[in-house]
Amino acid sequence: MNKENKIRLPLKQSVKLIVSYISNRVLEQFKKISIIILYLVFFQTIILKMPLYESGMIAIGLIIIIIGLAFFFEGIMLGLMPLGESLGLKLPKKAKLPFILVFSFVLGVLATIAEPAVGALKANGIFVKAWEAPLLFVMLNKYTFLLVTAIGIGVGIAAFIAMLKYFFSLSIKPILYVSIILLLIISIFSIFDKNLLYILGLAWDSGGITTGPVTVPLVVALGIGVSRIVSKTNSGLAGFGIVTLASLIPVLTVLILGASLLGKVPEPDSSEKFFEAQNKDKIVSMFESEEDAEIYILKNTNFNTWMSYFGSKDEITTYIENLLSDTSLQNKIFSDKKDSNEWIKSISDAELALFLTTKYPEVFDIKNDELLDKTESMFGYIIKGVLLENLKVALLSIAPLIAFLFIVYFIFIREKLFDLDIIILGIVFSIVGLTLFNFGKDLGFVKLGKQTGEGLPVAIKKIKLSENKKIFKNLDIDAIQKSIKEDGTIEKFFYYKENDKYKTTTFDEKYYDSEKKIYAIDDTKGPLFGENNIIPGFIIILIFCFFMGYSATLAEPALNALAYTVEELTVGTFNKNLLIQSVSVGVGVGIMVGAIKILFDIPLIYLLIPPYILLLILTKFTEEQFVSIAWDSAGVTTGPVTVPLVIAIGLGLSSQVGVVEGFGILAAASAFPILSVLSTSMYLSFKRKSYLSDI
Amino acid sequence: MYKFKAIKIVCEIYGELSSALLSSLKEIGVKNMNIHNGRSVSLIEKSSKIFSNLITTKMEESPFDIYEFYVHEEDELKVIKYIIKKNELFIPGRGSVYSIKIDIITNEDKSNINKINITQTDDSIPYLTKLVGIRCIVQKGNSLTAIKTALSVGSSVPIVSIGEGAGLRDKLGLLRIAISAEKEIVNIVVNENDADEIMNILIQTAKIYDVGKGFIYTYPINKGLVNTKIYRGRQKYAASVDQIISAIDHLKGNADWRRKFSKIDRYSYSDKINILTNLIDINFNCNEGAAMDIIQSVLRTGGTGATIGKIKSYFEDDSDENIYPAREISYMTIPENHKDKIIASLISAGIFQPQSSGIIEIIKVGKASTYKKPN
Repeated sequence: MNKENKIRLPLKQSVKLIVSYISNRVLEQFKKISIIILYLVFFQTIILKMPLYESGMIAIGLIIIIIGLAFFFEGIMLGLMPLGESLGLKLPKKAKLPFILVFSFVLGVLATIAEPAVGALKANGIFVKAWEAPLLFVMLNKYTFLLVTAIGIGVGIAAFIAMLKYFFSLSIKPILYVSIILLLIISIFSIFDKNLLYILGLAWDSGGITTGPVTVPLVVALGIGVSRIVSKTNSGLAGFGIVTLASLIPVLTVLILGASLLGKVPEPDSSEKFFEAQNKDKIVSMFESEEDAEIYILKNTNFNTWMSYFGSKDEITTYIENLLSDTSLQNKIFSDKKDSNEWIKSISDAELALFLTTKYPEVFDIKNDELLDKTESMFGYIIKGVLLENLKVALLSIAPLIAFLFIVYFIFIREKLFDLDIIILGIVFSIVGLTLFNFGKDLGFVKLGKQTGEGLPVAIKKIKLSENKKIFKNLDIDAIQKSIKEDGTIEKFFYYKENDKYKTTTFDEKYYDSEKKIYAIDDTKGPLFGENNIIPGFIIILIFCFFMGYSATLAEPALNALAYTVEELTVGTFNKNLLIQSVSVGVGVGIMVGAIKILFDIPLIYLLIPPYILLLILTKFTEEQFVSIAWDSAGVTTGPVTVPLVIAIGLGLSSQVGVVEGFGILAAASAFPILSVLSTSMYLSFKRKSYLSDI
Repeated sequence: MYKFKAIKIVCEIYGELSSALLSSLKEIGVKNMNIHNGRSVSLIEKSSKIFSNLITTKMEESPFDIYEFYVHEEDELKVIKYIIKKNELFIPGRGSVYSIKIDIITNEDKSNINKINITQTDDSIPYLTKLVGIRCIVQKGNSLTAIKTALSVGSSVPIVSIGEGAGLRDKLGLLRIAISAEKEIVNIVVNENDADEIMNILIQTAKIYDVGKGFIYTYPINKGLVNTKIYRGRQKYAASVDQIISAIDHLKGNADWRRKFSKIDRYSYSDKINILTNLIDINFNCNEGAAMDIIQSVLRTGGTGATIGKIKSYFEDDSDENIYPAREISYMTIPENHKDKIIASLISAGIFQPQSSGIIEIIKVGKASTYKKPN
């Protein structure tokens, strides 16, 4: 840009321009995200009649999310996509095919490692029980690096194949047929192994999760650029198809990784049998150290498992005594709780809690020094901890990728990059946007989603509110009352006072220590329509899942960017909103089906085979250009707005319903949008064909 | 530098028929051409599902591809007739074809002009003369008014393509992100005698006279056959109205008989409207990514602004490695007396360098209008 030629606008006019620019962008995001938020709040408070905790913090978080999304989306449009496209346009003319193939492979691997959503998989791993799905457990905990690498290699291979597709103008259809049929066959085989069975959900989910909000726009733009240069077809849409490959191939690599780790883990069993002393070597090898294994058992299993692991009560006593004297071990155990009191309250096994509190009342007094410091200055903690952490995540997910692209551009292409100042501004916007978005998400959105997710099972069953475990000290046996049911059984209960109100709770002698007069019980709630009327509850859950999926997808930045690109490439004939709406409906249906999977514990394979077979048939009859768009929209659906909600719902439902793992919802949420977009495309094709008969 | 006269053939074809057109063009030896993606807008009649008597009209967008290539003057009529016959363009709705007289400036010899190989022509093929093209460039999203007007005067089916504006905005520094550069280019072909009036109506409805609203101009079309399928829907008679129009057009040889506006009592332009004359359209196409740089340096030497659109170039033999398949086309309207200066600055900006591999077209502009600074 020539400086002399620059026009300086009067300040007033510049401010006016900027204000209208910002307010337009913010308003646009506000419209998109307000639907899902109002919906969640409405559902939580009106339908489930559950209290909304921390509403002030959630509200602030949501405002930050909107600003973050506005920045991020603008960053995609100004920075990431133009950079990807310029590179794609220049690369085929400046470099030979082998170089481009290597470049795309490296790009795929880098993009995955940087992808923050991969972290969400790990979050899901915390809730997987080591004894129920040992292979899944080690892949999500000890071998996360291997898992991420496997996914990365999958995405790399996908980018590699996509480039070959562009260069040789290959049709996406045969590639899809081969990969889907291969994946389904491998998936069918893996259900015959107890361990592999449980990683199926992870494998299919990881495909969807890798294609995140940074990767998708970048890769799509790159693909469009490359295909504009090398593709023989006239349609600009030939550049699509790369995202769906990046969702499918990782399924394969994750399953292969699972199969290769199979020998390292024991078979699933009950926790008592699994943690038996003679299995110790294999068990310890599943964790980083023996200490970690013991902490895991302490925090996640029950009293009997403890007994079978340590062998005798004496061993346990030694362990606890060691614990009381070792502060570093204490901090490790109570890493996320302020003190042991809080932890004991959240212990899943009431018997274990009772044992600890009666035998070692001093366990109550252990404080977590690190966390106490943090809570003392809440504000400082939020700014320093959460904001900086998120800035780091945003930088990590954008900077390495962008740096790689810039290096390739300036070393191999050596041409002036047009609008470089705007591209850099866009990249800064996307980093700021992603930071703010994740910051707001941590403050508000995730909490909101988690509360609704945990509350959701209330619709169908009595749930334990484990954070509200009640421990009564000094419970006198005289306070126990008796009540009689119609069939003559007697149930004991007692009155207690809470918040100036008298309440009742059942009394079970199993959880009572008569010497110390301590009683521990879980707080419960539900079912919403009474014990014998759970069908309306199911329907409520399914309706909830549909609208949640639908409204969260509307706000997905990557989907919006994709839809915008499709509209531009088709000069408006494939309308942006048509694509967004049909994808959102598809995701809604998908999440509903995923919830059915968890509620009824249906094996994932039953939910994969029918839709994918149907997809292959529809694909056969849909036009090539639409096939790529439809399959690609599946990859972009599972972005930063949907994933935390889906995970929260998956965890909430599966922990309450008692299934082993909550994976698979995302996989279902990826299959159904393809279906809905393919149907929409068929309608569009039909309309186009009928144009000629109309005239 | 070579400079010569040629004929540009423009063919706007319905998306589904695009590949058939491409192969028919290959057959007659068209070896290089440019292809834009666009959309057409027509009105469709739909009867309501619940109240079957209620018929509503709505606008419907359909994909259209626009093919452009150069031929020698002596081949002009042969090619037009061939395209009309081969692609049955005399059936309204399938597409339009027309020719424009242009001057070409290029770096090489006349290799860009396609050598047409047609032996026999059919005299019964209908075509029209006395046509004028109107091109209206507006902000993205604002094309609807222009389209509605074009449809309401019943002239021809408008074809919309998209482009990016370059001009004032680029002098604002980073502040330019606050102004959208996206433009829509609406192209209609009308009867010569109606052109002024339709342009006038377009200026009024799209408020071209306001600042930043856009730019409109007309250019002469030599020969052609234009898609008049404005209405689609239920057909009650053996022939549709547009078929009858097309038949009479053919009999008369021009569309003057369906003139809408009287020559005598046309109303005068309002004061707000600023009509410019003695302009030329300097268009050039070049490799994608190069156009903006070239335009920037031309703007520095006194150009006013340009609109850049993406096209795809088709070459039968990939002999010239410098010409990318992904190309850009730039539309720039300038006063005729600036022609030499602008062309000189285009060349010094490197339009003929291998990385741009540009071709310049010069088209005479009839009338133009845009915002006029108050005196």
